Amino acid sequence: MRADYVEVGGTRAFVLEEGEGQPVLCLHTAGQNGVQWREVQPRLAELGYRVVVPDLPGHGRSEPAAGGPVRDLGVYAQWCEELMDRLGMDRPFVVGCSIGGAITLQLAVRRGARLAGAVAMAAHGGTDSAMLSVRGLERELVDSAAPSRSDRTYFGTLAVVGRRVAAERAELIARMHRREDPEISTSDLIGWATHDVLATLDGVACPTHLVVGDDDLWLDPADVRRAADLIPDSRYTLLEGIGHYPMEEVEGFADVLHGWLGELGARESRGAA
Amino acid sequence: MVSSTTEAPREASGSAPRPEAPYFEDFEVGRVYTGPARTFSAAVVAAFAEVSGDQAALHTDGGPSADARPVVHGPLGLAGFFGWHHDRGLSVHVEAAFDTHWDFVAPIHVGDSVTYEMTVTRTRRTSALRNGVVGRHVVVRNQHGETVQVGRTAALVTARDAVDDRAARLGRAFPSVEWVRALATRLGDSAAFTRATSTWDGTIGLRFGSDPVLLRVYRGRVLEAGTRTPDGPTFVLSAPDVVWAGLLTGPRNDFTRRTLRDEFEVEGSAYEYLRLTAAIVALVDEARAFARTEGTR
Repeated sequence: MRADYVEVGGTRAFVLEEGEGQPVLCLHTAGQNGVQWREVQPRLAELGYRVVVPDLPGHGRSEPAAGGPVRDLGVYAQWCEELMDRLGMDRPFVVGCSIGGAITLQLAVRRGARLAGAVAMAAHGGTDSAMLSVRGLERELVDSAAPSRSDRTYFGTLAVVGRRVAAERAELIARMHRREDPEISTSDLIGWATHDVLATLDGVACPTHLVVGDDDLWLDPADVRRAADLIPDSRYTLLEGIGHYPMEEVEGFADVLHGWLGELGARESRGAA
Repeated sequence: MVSSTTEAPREASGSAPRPEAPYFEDFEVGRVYTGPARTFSAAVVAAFAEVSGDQAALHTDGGPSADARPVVHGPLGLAGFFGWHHDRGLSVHVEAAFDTHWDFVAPIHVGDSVTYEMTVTRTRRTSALRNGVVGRHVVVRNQHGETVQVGRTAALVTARDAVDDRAARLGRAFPSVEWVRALATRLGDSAAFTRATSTWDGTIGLRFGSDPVLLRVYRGRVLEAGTRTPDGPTFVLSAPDVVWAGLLTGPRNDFTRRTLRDEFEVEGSAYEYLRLTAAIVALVDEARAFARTEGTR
């Protein structure tokens, strides 16, 4: 595994890279960082991929974005495009979860023709006013108005990890998630609550797979299915007993993902033939 | 909630054969009763129109829906609950029906089959000891699984034994003053609660339906528990009885999931409520442990 600081968008980004072969870009969730892919990355590399896991700007070990905390997932999508070009990732797969899933959909819309395929988990491509209000999030951005943030992230994570996940594993996921900068997480969530690519999903030019856990309280699976229906070449998977973080919750997730990528790749080559 | 109606009553007194029909003691808070669907045929609806005198065209000719099926009288859905209760053998020892509140959420149409789901939300033995009041929450669903009616209704039920077992059943006697005082004592021994409130000075309010209980907390200690404090609550966490019953007797502490589903409301200082996130989770853990002690004595 190789760690690099790469200049993207005028600031330094932390990127972990492992393996050779078909490139895959893996995107983390709101406020978190690439450590969410720590179990998946080495195994996926073994299976024959060049696995690139960045920390989005302001997250993990990456410097903040030049314009401050990002509230527009389109900015992240543009940042990912620059990163993929900088690293010479040719026809990569993109895999992301939550805001990472929404960014994946944005990338599929923006440059689907240059992707091998996209796996968007825990994302429905639309705005989210049911679970989050921008006004409430604006209040959270005032640090003195947002008490017990770390406890709320911890319990909030436990609440959306699926019932199939062992208690010990759920505990580890929730403890890891406490490591966040609330200003960055909350700005990410404003981006999540306001992004909307539904009207452009019919133009997605790469095979796409939408995935959602049936214990994910943040999303209604019906919304995810609706997004999948809007995308010309797509499939949809409901993960039973899994919540908002499939790559952290599903044991052996890399092998599952390998299967999904194989299907997307097969469809892409059929489409190209 | 995982209990089923076919489950035998937990305790039988003495060596006498276990009676089939439940007494007051058998209605345990958190227990859920279900049963087979009931279809409201045109003949049944016509009979109800006759008996009640409500022969409005809506119920006899046709309703506003696309297929123009007549709408079942709302009170027939409610009356059907009491019929269901009787059919399930639950009414044998019922002495009286008390407060009943019923919401007609969506229409039931002639020909629809509904199911009743009843959750026991409160129990309170009367001072006479020979009977007790059982609070129930009822959800009525149609054949598509859509909720059409939701209700709350209480019944006075004969007790198997006229004994004072209130201390032994205190763990599920929320939201009584005795319950919150006993909970306060337990919280004093809860390291998680004591630590999470160790820098706090305020009063936690918990409202079950319309009934609040208060816990006056100072630096990790509960100074007083009851229904009022001189300064009133810092915040009040409210939910219907059925939500509390599910939270305190269900398979896991799913408080945060329930807050994400907006099952709770907060009045007063939202800041202090958020500040006490870990304390409330610990309080719920303790109340759940207390609820599990019922029946062990």
